[in-house]
Amino acid sequence: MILRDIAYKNIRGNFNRYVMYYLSNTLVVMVFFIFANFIFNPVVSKVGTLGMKGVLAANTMILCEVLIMVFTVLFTFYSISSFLKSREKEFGLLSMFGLTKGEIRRYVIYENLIVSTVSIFTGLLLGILFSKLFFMAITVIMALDVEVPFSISLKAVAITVLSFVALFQGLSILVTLRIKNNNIAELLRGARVAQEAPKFSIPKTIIAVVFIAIGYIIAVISGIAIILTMFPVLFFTVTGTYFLFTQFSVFMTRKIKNNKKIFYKGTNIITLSQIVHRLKDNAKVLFIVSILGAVTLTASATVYSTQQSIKYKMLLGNPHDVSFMEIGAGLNDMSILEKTEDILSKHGHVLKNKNQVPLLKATNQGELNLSNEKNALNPNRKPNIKDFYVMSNSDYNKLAAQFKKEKIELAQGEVYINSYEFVIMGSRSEKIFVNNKSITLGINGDNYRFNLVGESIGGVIDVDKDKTNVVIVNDKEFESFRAKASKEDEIMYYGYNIEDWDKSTEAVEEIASILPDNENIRFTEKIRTFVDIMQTMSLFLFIGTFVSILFFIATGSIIYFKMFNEIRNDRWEFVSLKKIGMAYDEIKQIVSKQSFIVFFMPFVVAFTHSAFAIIALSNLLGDNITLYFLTVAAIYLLFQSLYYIFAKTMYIKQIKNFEI
Amino acid sequence: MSVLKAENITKIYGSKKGMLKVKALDNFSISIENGEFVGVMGPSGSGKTTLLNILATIDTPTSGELYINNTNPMKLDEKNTALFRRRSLGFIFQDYNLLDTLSIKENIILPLALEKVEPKIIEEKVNDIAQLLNIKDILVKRPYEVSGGQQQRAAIARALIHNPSIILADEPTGNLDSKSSLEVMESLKRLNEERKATIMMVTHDPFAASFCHRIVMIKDGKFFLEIVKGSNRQAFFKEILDSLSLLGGNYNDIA
Repeated sequence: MILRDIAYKNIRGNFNRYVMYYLSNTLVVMVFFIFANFIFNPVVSKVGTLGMKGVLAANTMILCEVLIMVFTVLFTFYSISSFLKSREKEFGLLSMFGLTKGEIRRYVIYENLIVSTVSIFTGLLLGILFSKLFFMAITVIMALDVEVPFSISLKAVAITVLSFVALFQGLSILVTLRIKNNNIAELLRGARVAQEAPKFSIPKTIIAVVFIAIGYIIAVISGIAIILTMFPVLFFTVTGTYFLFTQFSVFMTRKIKNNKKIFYKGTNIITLSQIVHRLKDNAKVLFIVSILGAVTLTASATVYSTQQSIKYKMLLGNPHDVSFMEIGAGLNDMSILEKTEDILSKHGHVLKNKNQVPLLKATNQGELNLSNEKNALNPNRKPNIKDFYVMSNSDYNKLAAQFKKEKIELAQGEVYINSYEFVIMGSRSEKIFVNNKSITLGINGDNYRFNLVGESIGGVIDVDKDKTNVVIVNDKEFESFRAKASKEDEIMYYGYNIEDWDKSTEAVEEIASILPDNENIRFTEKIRTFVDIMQTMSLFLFIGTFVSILFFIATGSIIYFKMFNEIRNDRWEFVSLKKIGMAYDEIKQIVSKQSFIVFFMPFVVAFTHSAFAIIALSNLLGDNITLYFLTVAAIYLLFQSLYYIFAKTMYIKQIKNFEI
Repeated sequence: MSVLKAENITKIYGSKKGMLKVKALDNFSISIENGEFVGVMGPSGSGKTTLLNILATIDTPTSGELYINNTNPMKLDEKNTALFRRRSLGFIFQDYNLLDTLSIKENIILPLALEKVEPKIIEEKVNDIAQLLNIKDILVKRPYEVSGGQQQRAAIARALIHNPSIILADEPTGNLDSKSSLEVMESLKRLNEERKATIMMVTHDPFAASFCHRIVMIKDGKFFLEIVKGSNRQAFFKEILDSLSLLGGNYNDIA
């Protein structure tokens, strides 16, 4: 038997400890390869075939590759070094048999070589397997005209293999250099010597709380200035978090321990004492996991909420997918409507809604007290406060029901306004007229004074290029205005909703090509304006999800790995406890509580940090994105829980195997 | 009244088919009266540890009956066996088995905390027993901060604090120097005399054994011989040494 055999047998014997490390590495390699394979795909790099979209996707992925690499370095370094630390006793034993330092290093490097080779190989295999699926997904998401052909780029394979072999081996050599076996006797005693009473310093504990509080407060009150205050916020929160884990957690558990009513009760005495040690020993890992978790959570919530908020705002401004406005109702040749319906059905877009709304023109004739004359982020933008379309209350309610908006009931002399002052991305949408109790409108040359009962941003008809507001009036008044209006001033609005609007580019282009040369017929569509922005966001979401999952699994793996490294040290402790009469259920309880804290404390911290990041982001974007954030956090929590259950079950299974 | 009664205990290892069968215990019987301090001696492989494990309810005999305080722990399920162990038995181990994450005091009160005893009563009891075993000064320290003898006395305190029916000690002086051994054995003696604790101790060490009232010697899983202490410990020590040479095994060297 040579050193290599021992290394091999060791891995087989320590399967439980290696399995998550191996799986995480495999996953990292797989994703890395898939991205690389996409980047090096001959079709993608040719701008002519895929256009700028392909280049954008490829560039995003290159950025992700770098992220993955940086992260892998961190992850591997932590995994290997904590693994080695837990095996000092074994190294002591090997030294006693007369193995030199160099041989022990070689032994560890063999072990890593085996695990990393296997994970690179399986990662590549899985990557090749899933590349096709990934390409198909990208094609669908980006609505590419050409499907990215499946091919395995040898360049991608070479880069993946080379970079990971270099990374894994480089790190394992680096880490093994830290093996020092000067004192064999000390090594033989192993990690048991290290269990000193965790200490904490009161000033640092206070720093933890104060720094995090400062970070949070700055984040919340900065508003738009967050762009500048971002760095101090990061500094305070990250430093605070570090002390939170290294100092504050010990302080808190001590506080609980001092309460004898709690501490002297059943298994609490062991659970709490061990948690103190576990927190202290794992403080750095938990800190890193928390920060990574916060970054992952914030990033995915940001991408997701940006995408959702764009979608939402799009619907505010363009409730209809395709619409026409006919100035001078009934005076024009509207055969275009029939043609439009034909074209839509020809392209397989079934009509969902078909609406027709009579409108009248109106202009503001009075002085207005504007809530915000200038847009904070865009001083050049001025809201349209002059032009209005008048709509009847019953027409509004009919459309409101269709678009799931709130209905309104207006009495004589009351109006409700839909304003369209918003931008798709960034800056807060603001109501324009909200400070006024009344408004004077000129309709058909006469001025009328109305009570303004409300305003909402976005409406039930598509916004026109002037961002003309819509004013809703009582049905009877509308009829009387309409009766007085000349045919030329009457407007008919035609709106369509279709199935699969997001794939309607071709149909819309065909309609646009046959529009009559008549400036009284105005055509509006949603798809061409938003297709690029939607696809880009979807791409970010897709790649972002990929990378998030990767980070998530890897951070979980670090915790898992730590847990299983400790199992040997814990083993004799559990055996002692069992001997003095601890029931298996109680041991299980202790383990569950401990692993619960180790798994969910980083989550709680990550969640709180991201919550404040999201508040700051909400202030910046001017949108309330809490709901989107909670959705992402809930998904994260679900996966975290699954991971926890898995890790706990594996751990308990191990403990159960301990013979007394 | 006998606290512990083991009748015709037989333990065979390797019960699976085709495996080499080893009889670790062969129809061994022992009975321990309330307030007794009994030593069990025997060469390596004689079945001492097996006997102790069976009495400690962490191993089950192949056949035979065991009664501790008139309860047959073999008839209990896992959970109730654990509870029985916790309430009726006290353990002292060769390697102390104190938890490093707990202070000495916390280690001692563990059995009471597990039973959810009132903190006030716990405090009283721990002070009382620390006084008796002379470990008051080290209560706030951690196991690795104190000497082996002090650790073992802390373990003794833990074994006694919940007033078990019987304390089972497995080579309590095995890891200790002679001075610490003396301290530990005198502590055990004091427990036995002042607190009327019933103790069964497995040991290799004739010096430690000389503190017992009675020594049962075991060889190849069978009862070999029994000696009872007279009035003098020195004489008893001599007697033990003589008997050990009869016992053979690795004791031949000593004699």
